[in-house]
Amino acid sequence: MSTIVGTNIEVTNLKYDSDTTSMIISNTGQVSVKSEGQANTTNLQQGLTKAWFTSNSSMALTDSFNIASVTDVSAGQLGVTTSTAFANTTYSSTGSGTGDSNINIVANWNETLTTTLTRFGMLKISNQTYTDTGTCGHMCGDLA
Amino acid sequence: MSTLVIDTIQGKTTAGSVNVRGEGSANTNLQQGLVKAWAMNNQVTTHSNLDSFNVASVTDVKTGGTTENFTNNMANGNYTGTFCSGYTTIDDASLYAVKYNAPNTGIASGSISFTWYYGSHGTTSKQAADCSHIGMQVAGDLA
Repeated sequence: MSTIVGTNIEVTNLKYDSDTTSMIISNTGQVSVKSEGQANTTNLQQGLTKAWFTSNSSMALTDSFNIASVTDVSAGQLGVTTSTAFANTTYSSTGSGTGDSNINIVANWNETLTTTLTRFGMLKISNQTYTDTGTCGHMCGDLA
Repeated sequence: MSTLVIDTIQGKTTAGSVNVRGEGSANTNLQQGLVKAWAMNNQVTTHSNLDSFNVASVTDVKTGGTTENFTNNMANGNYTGTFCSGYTTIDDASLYAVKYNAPNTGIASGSISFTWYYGSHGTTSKQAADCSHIGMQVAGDLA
C-alpha cells in the first residue's frame, strides 16, 4: 500500500486499479461515485446530508451538524438555523420524534422557510396541539 | 486527465474528517454528511429488513416496535433517526414512527429502537401497529 500525504492533489479519477474507477472529479469539483451495483454512478455532494440535529424536550440541541442555533418559537415549534446556507429554499427536511409516542413531526413550514431557516413542529396526536418534545431532523439539498 | 489509484482516503489534519466542496462555493464535511445506517423494515410478516446498510440484525420488540442493531456502533446516543412509513389499509391518518429508549438500556449507541403509530385525522387517539414498510435513516457520529 502506498500513501500520499499532501494538501492539494489535482486529479480527475480515483481508482482501485487500472480497470476499476471509484470516483470521478469534474471540473466544477463535483464527485461521481461508483454505485454499489457497479452499473451506475451517484453524486457525492447530492448524497450527503447537509445538516442534522437532535434536540431534547427542553427544545435545546443535544448534537448537530451545520446547525448554528435553534429557537423555541412557541410550544412545540422549533426554529432551526443552519451555519452554511442552502442555495435555495427547495431543500428537503425530514424529522421524527423521540420518546413521546404521541408526536408526529411536521417539517419545512413555508411561512418561515429561508435558505438558512426552517421550522419543525411537534404535533401531539392525543390533543392535536403542538407540544415540546425531543426531535431528530435531517436536511438534504444544494448548498450555496 | 490524471488518475490516482488508492484504497483509502483520510484527512491529513484529522483522519476522520474530510471536507468536500458543495454544490456551490461552500464546503461541507464528508463524514458528518454520510448517512451512517439506513433500512427498509417490514414489521408485518417476518419482521425483517427488506434492505439495509450497517445493520447486523433486527429485533421484534413489540407490536409496532423494532430494534435495529448496528454493525458499527455510533459514538453515543445523540444520533438522529428519522422515519417515514407506508401503510396501505389506512387512509386519512397520521402515520409516524418514534425513536425511543431501547428496552432497559436508554438510547443505545449500538442500536436504534422505534415504534410505529397511526392516528386517524379528526380524532385524538393513536395506536401502535405493525407496518409493512418503514424507511429509516441514521445520521451522527460513528464510534
